[in-house]
Amino acid sequence: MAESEEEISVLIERVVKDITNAFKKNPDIDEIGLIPCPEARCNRSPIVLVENKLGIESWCIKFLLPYVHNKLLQYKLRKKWLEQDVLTDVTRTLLLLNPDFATAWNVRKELVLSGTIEPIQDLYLAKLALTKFPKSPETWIHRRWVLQKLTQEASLPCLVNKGSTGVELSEKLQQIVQEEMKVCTEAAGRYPSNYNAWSHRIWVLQHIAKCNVKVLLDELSSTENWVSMHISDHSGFHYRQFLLKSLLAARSLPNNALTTLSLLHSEQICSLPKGEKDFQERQKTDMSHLCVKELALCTDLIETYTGHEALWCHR
Amino acid sequence: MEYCMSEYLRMSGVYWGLTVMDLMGQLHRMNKDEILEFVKPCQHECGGISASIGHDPHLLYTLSAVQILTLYNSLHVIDVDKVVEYVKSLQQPDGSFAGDQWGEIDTRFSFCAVATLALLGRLDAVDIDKAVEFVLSCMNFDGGFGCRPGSESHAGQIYCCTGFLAITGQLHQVNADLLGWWLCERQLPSGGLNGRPEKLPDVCYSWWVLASLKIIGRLHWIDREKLEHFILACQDEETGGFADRPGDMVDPFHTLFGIAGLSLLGNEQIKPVNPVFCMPEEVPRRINVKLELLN
Repeated sequence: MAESEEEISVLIERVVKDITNAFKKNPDIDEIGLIPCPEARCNRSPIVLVENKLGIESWCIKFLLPYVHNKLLQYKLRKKWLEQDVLTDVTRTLLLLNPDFATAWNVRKELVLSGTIEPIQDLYLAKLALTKFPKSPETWIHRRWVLQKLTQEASLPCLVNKGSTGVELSEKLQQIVQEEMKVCTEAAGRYPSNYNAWSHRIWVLQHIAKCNVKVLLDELSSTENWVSMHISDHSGFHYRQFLLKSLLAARSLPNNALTTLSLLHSEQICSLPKGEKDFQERQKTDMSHLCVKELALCTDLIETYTGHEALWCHR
Repeated sequence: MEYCMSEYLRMSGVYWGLTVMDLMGQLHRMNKDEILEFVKPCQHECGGISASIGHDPHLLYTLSAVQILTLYNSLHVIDVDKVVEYVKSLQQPDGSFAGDQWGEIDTRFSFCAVATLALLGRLDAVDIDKAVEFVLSCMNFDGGFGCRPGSESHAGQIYCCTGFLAITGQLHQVNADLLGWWLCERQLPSGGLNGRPEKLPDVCYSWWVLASLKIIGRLHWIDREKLEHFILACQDEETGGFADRPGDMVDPFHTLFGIAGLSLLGNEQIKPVNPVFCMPEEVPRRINVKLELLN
C-alpha cells in the first residue's frame, strides 16, 4: 500500500493528536504498551485506550517514530519553529516510544522552566515510560531533575519538629517521597535487580528525605516483605544495607547535633531531655536490635532458599 | 526506525565501530572523511559535543568524539580549548562531575571528564584532588564503586573508577585484593562474567570486569580459558558479530567488548588494547598519555 509523504504526515499528525486526546480523556492512564499488529485496520486509529491502559499498534511505529523524531530535530536545528503545546505533544509521543532520547527530555526541562509544563506532569510521564522501560537511565535522570526543581521552591517547608517522635518531613515532602518509593518498587518488580531504580530510591532518601530517621525506619519495615519475595535481587538487599548504615550514622550523633544538621529554619534547638543519657543508651540498643533482626531475617531466608549468593553477600 | 531509536548515542556507536575495526587492523575500511564531517557540527557553542547533529551536548559523547578524533589523529577538526572549557565547567564543588548542564552526578562522568582531558593533554584544567576525593567517597565496603556515594557496587562503575584512578595516578588507594576478589567472583560456571551477584553473564562485562582486573594487576585471578570460550560462543557464525550472550542478537557494542576482552586475554589476532581507554594500546602511546597500572 503505497502512501505519499503527504498522506503519511497527515496520518501521523492524527496519531499524535489521538495520543494527546487519550490523555485528556483519561488523566488516570497508568500503563503504556505496544500492541503487536502488523497491519493497519482500515481507518481505525492505532491508539487504543482500554480502562487505564494506553496501547499503540505496532504497525504505525515505523512511520510515527521517524516523523516525530525529525520534527523535534528540525526544531532543535532552528529550521522549523514549533509552538509550546506542539512541542509538549511531540516530546510526549517520542518519549513514550523511546525514553532514552535525552534531548527530548531536555526540551521538556525547558518547557518546565518556562512554566508551560508543570513538574508533576513530567513525573507522571516518566512514571508511564517506566511501566514499559523500567531501567531507562534517562527517565530516572529526568525524574531527579524534576524532583530537585519541585523541592527547591523556597516556600516548600521541609522538616517539622514533632517533639516526642523527633523530626519528621513536612506532609508535602512525605507525599513526594512516598510516591517515589512506589515508583521504584514498581520498576524493581518489572526488572530483576534494577540498578537504576534502586539507586534512584537511595538518591531520594539522601537528597529529598535527607536521611530522616523516621523515613529510614519506615523503609526498613516496608521493604522486608519485598526482599523476602525477591531473594536474588542483590540491589534490594544492598538497599537495606544502605538503610542500616544511614540509621547508624544518624543515631551515633548526639541529639542536638542531629537537630542542627537538619534543615529547620527555626532557631529553636531541641533542648536535651533530662533522660538524655538513657535516650542515647536506648538508641544504641535500638540499633543493635535492628541488626539482630536483620541477621535473623537473613538466616531465615538462607535456610528457606538455599544457594542464593545475594543473601550471603548481605550477611 | 532502528536508526532513529539509537541516534541518541550515535557518537558512541561510531566510536565502538571504529575502535573494533582498528583493533582488528581494519580501520582503513571506514570512511574517515565522512566521519570527520559528522563529528564537526556536533560540537556546540559551549564546547560540548552531542551524540548526533541537533542533539544536546553531553560528557559521554564528548569523550567518544575525542576518542574518534584521536584514532584518526584529527583533533584539529574541533575546538579543543572549548572542549576543555566545557569539561571544566561541569566540575562541582565536591569534586564530582555533572554529565551536562542539567546536573546529573555519576562516577561515569568523572571518568569521562579525566579521560577526555588526558587524551587532550589537559588534565591540569580541573581540580584533580577534589575529583579524586569524590570518586573515593564512592568506594564501598566490598572494595567496589557505585555511581554515587552510597550506591551499590557495579562492574561498569568499577571500570570507570579504576580507570579514573589510573589516569589520576591514585591506584594505590584501591584495596586491590578485596576488589580483585569481588571482580573474579563475577565469573560464572559458564565461564562468562556478570556485573553483580546473581546476574546473568554478558559479554560486555568481559570488558568492564577484565579491564578493571588488568588495571589493578589481578588479571590472572580469572579463569582465562573458560572466559575465552564464553566470549567466542557469543560470536554469531553468520554475521561475525558478538551478542551479549550465546544465541542473542549481535550489535556493535557487544562486538567491540568481545574483541577487546579477547585482546586482554592475549589473543594474537587482535592488537593489544589499552584497558583504561579501550583503544589500541599504540594510540595513547602515540600521544604520550602517562598511565601506571598496578602489578
